[in-house]
Amino acid sequence: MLRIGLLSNILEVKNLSVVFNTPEGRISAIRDLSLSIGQGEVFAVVGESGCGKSVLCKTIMGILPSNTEITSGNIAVNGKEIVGLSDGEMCRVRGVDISMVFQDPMTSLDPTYSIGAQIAEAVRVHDKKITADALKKKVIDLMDAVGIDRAVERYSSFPWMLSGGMRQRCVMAMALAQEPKLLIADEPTTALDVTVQAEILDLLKEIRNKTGMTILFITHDLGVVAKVADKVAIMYAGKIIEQGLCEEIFARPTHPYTWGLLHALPSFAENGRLYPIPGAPPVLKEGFEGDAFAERNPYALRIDYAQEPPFFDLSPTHKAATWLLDERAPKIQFSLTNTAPPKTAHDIKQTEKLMEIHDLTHYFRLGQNSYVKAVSHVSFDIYKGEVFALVGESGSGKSTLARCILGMYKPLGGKAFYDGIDITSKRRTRKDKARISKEIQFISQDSGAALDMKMTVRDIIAEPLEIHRVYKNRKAADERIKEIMKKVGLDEQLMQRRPSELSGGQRQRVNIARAYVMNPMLLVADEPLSSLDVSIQAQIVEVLSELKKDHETAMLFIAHDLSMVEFISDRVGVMYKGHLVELAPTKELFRNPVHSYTKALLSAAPKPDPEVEKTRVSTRYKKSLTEFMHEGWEEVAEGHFVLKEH
Amino acid sequence: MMQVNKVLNNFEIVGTQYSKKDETQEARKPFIKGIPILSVVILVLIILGCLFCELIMTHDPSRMFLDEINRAPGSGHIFGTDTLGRDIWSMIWFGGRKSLIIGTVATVISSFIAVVYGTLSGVAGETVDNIMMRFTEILLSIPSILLVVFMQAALGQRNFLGISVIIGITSWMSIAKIVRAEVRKIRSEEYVLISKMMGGSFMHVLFKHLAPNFMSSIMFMIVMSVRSAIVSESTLSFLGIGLPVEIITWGSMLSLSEKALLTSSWWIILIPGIFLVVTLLCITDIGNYIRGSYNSKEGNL
Repeated sequence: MLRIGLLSNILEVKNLSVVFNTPEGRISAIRDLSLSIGQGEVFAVVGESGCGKSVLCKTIMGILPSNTEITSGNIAVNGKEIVGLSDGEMCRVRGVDISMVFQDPMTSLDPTYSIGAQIAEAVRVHDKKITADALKKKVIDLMDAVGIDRAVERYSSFPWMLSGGMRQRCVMAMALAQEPKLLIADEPTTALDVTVQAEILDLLKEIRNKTGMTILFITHDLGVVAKVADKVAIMYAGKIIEQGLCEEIFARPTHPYTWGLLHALPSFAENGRLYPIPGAPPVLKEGFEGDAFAERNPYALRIDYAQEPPFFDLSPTHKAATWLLDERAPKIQFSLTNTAPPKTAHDIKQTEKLMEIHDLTHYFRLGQNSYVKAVSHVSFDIYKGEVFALVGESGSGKSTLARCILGMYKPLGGKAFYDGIDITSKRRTRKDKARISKEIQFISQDSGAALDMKMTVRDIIAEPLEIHRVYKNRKAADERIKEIMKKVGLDEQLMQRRPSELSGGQRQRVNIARAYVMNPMLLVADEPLSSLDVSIQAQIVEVLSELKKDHETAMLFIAHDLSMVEFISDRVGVMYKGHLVELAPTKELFRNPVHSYTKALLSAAPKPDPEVEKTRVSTRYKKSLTEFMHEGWEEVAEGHFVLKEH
Repeated sequence: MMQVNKVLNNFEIVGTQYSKKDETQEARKPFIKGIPILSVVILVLIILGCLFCELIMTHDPSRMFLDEINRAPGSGHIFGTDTLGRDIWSMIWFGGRKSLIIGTVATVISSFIAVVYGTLSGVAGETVDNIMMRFTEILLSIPSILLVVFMQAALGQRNFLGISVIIGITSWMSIAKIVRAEVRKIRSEEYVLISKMMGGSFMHVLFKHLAPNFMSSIMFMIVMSVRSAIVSESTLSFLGIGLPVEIITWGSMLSLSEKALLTSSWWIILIPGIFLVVTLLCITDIGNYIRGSYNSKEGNL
């Protein structure tokens, strides 16, 4: 909040339009977009994938691919016009006036150079005469500034030796090397864990407060926005549709799309239901007329289909492009009730155990005498019909655990019983094997990789039916497939399509349909939401909770996103570095986290509420493995177990 | 939560269902687009001509017109006659049939071996896979002509089925390596893991997932191996270690070329040469199209 609006605008974009030339025709990526960012502001652009926010970054940086074309508009950085500059001229702008931090820190660093050398390169490019000593000093200063401790030692480390958070800090050090006026951060924390995300966001704010740098922050996560942004612009189909101060957007959202985005979040769920935005973002041909959002908008007016709405001002800083603000339009009041954690819909009879896991341990061998303890001594039960969530950051062993349960890995120690059948044993009868493969199904993280691109949707869903010869003839199978497709919200007409013709959300629905077509007893869902957009995530969660009502299926739900876990699960297990550290009913865990890692995890997850975010301090948790091994369990409340700490 | 107070005609809430234009489904890409039409037409004409050569032949291709040796193209013989007095026009079509059959049979044999061997190596454990792949490398390092000569000598009798078998069993190695690499890649794909987990047997995974997926990447190689089989036969015949002159193929026709050069009868070399080259170019062109179309389909994601 330091020096907002004191000086002139650092970035001024006027009536920008960008078009993609594709074999299918000219597609509008950005349509008539205007925005201005003042000195020292953190300006967040929010939108789903495909809304054009990354294209906007690339346009400002002048790194658009060759099939794109800026059809109109101006971009001024620090008063300097940059549209139409040659590549050589842009080189003097990039790094000095603008620099950029990308989403994935692994791919933006070169694995063959040490991080010191890479940061030094960013310094030397614009200052060729710098001496070796001064250069090294400058690099170490930069590393200090972005919070890389032991900078002198780490100078010669290689990217693959560092954690994701450290790598992102290196990328930021490179971006900050020339003290640019404007930093563009394109989803800088999306690939990171929640606790690391909180650290990086704090660092960005700290840098802004210290240097007064302007930050254009691109994200899809409204929680992150609430944490860092001063101003917010919501983008849809290449256009900004609502813009205002962060507080205004969250307190008085005005555009139906903004309502939809907020409503799709679990924190704003009502009566245990999410309200996803129907459909998927459109691909707009050049020359599109009307409001692009109309087809997904329950409040669409007739005029929305004919004419693009102009901006209506709500306050000097807050404006929105929707016909609902026109005086002739019906007045619609929208309110978000920030409800307490949603109640879980049904009570579980915690009597019948479906799955028992005893002391499960699995190590991966790295080399001679060197192991990674992916899962160590984990025990828990899954009851019939419940949703058991496993939460933890990447590398905590939750996927390995799932794969042990699914029989993809053979665990080194411990046992896993499914309804009395030992899954880990090699000596299973043919009958048991067939039963397990019928009754346990799997949904994976990457909805694309889990589908065979050569098969049609019908054949994909029919695969388990065919393997187990459930139906004698094709017609009966088709009936069942149509029924399940309807349940997961897929149109019957998609049956003969191939996965490459479907959107990400539709593909994940196909995955769910394939898993449910057998009426499984246990469904293992490994991060089924993490590759999807917020509004699509909500759709999928809705599908899963609908299915949960109709079927007696128990679910092992693996996630790193705590908010969705809170929404869908009955019990939660928290994993940290291969250990299960806390296990409790969902409500109990979120109300009363006991283990300090759980506390850190809960405090790091950003909430879509600027009031909460501006004042909150997130706690850190850094502990080595050995510190809490073999300490034993403690029951702090009924069904709430915690691994003892010192 | 929300209230609708007044309703005005243009500002009436119509919701998501309303759409002024009935959006028809996206038109599928026209199938014909991008297909190398010229190559297909020429190749089809040549193949039809060869298959129904009885209808267009003007003479018995093996009959020697002893009084008309080395005739230049003209009215009696459209493409002239060769050094043995045979009618080249008739030989082209009659011999072309044999050449194409040799190409096809050799390809079927080599692809079959390649797919079976490659899949086995791909799904086998590390040691077996290593042994199998080193074996193909040893075979690849021996010049294939040498292998063919050796096998010819071993088999003794020279007929056109024999030579296609020999070409077939000496040219499967590179396709097998591709199949093996693809199988290695695909077998750890998630959809294969899921299929196994759902109880899919080895055969189910092989026919439902592995085969359709590696087929696309070896399609090009298979089409190309038709070409190289025809070339091999021609080369061998030209060198005099393939088919004897009595068995008419494009290759054996070319084997007369050294005698033809002495008498400067260009048509004996040029005419079968042109047919051979045009056929090979057409096959290459179609092969390139197949490769390109598969790549773009996969690039969609």
